[in-house]
Amino acid sequence: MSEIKVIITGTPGAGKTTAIAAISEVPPVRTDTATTDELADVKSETTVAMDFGELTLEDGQKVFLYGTPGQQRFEFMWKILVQGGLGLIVLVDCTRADPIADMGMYLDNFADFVAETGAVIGLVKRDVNDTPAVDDFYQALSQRGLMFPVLEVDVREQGDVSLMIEALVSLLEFA
Amino acid sequence: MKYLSSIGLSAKDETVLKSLIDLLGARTSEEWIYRDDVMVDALLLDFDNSEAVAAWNTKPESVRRNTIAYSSEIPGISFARRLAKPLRAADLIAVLKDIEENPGKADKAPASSTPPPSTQAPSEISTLAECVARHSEGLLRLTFGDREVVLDRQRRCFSTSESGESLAALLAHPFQEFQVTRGADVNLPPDGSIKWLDQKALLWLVGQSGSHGRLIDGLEQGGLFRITRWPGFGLVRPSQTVLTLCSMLTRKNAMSIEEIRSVSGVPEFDIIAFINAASLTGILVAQSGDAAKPDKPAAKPELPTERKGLFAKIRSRLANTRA
Amino acid sequence: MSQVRISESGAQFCQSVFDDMMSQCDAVYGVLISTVDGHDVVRSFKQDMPAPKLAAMMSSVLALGETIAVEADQQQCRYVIVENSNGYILTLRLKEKLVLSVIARANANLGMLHSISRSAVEKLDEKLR
Repeated sequence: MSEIKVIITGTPGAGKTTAIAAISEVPPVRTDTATTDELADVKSETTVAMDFGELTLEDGQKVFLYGTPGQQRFEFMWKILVQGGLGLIVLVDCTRADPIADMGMYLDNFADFVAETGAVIGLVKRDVNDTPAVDDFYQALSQRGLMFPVLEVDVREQGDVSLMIEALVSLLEFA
Repeated sequence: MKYLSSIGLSAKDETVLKSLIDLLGARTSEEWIYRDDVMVDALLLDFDNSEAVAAWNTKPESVRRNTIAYSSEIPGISFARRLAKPLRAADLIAVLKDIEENPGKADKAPASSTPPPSTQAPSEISTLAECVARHSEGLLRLTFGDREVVLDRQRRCFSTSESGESLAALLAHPFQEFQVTRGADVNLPPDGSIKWLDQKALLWLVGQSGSHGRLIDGLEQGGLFRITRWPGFGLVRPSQTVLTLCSMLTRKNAMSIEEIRSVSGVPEFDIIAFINAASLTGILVAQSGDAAKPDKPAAKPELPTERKGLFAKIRSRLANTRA
Repeated sequence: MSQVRISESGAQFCQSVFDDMMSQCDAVYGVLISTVDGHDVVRSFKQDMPAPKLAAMMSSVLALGETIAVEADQQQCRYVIVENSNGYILTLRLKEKLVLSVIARANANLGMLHSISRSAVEKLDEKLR
């Protein structure tokens, strides 16, 4: 029985590790280490290899959830982790300077994978004033010739993480 | 053999119902069994339980068919079959016999109803979705007993006495059961005492809950539809049916209701609710069916059965986490 | 950019430790100190290699090694060794937030590599703050 992989990527601090922890049936495997750069102002630890969680389907088949490191210097891990993946979830931290450019960076780097599969964009930390509207993200996607769901989510909520995966599955089946 | 299930009954009512079913014996033509793990032939809905009505409202038409509205007052007039509380054997037998004899008997606002063509003059308002669609300016107050919703089109916001699921349940009531007040007749309390929310959340719910199988005026039954983006779901978590429709309608090429129905298996009733909701929230692109025919796209290749099965299993697993 | 900074004298000390390692084992052709989150700090390479990329990869591989050890109910991962047809890459933790990586050709003796790497870590550990 083949294993199924869902990949969660996105900006450092967006909550990839939290999202996996929120929905995984097993305590997530983490590769967090101390942050030594400017990210230390935001969080004390960062993922440097991958996060890993799992879900079990009714017949025992597993869905593996892989969280990537967020920083572009770990691009090599992105390429490793997407191999055989079902689809991509991109978490975008809307408190950062240019969230739309952040989304674009991940879509560029995962372009081949996303073209073969599909992606869901999860916007997190929306409770700030001067952040782009959801429509601005759709416009940016449209300029790339893409139409993916853009969902405002709280990755601490199991239901929101579940919604992103369900949206991804619907997209893969019906879009 | 026929199966009956229920939604939202109190523990006591459910026990009584199961006992009555066990005792029916030969008093109905067919043997009835209470089951909630199979496709049922009849569904008893506690209409006084707003959460149950909201849950029922998100279920596909195939589940909702032959719903019996069970209430202490006169239930929604859109229900063809009703039972008054408390549950009595004679009433239950009568309604089950009716289902045996007329399994397809439609409610007053059934999925199969044909909306008036858009070329005609605007029809009388028959659904909440139509009412809200036509009210494009100023204030609109919808009152249902001591529950209410106020929509301010000017300021693009709304306020309500209800929370998410309960608001969805409220909006599912037939339009005729609401008291409607418009414009200057809507008296608002001082502004500081009202919590206003973005109107899109309400407009989406009005379309989803208040369409009753009828497209709002201006949308053609034979038209082609697509959406420009996924909706913001706002107050109520989207059902799997809604996610399916989002995916299908964001395809590059617009689709007809019939195409959507045949590819997705989603009942027309739910497709119309989605299209109305998309129209009300301004994300719908509608084309005339005739004009678009030359550009009709090739059908998307069918997914392998194994793949579909996998997706179904993932959905089933995740449904538990979203409950 | 990492906020971990090594003073000029600290960098000189590191270079002297690297030189010692290369003289004790001439199969060693690269030594790199990087941060646990993947930034390169100081290095001595006898051939051209992409230090920033290696720094990130070393942090991943060491983190994976340490995580795998825990999953397998083993404690205190000392080294992660990548053994290849034409060489070895040995990675170990240095102080709390640094990683030492040693890159050597296949003619290196693995025991020797362990020894000089461990000894280098001890020296660096003592000197670096």
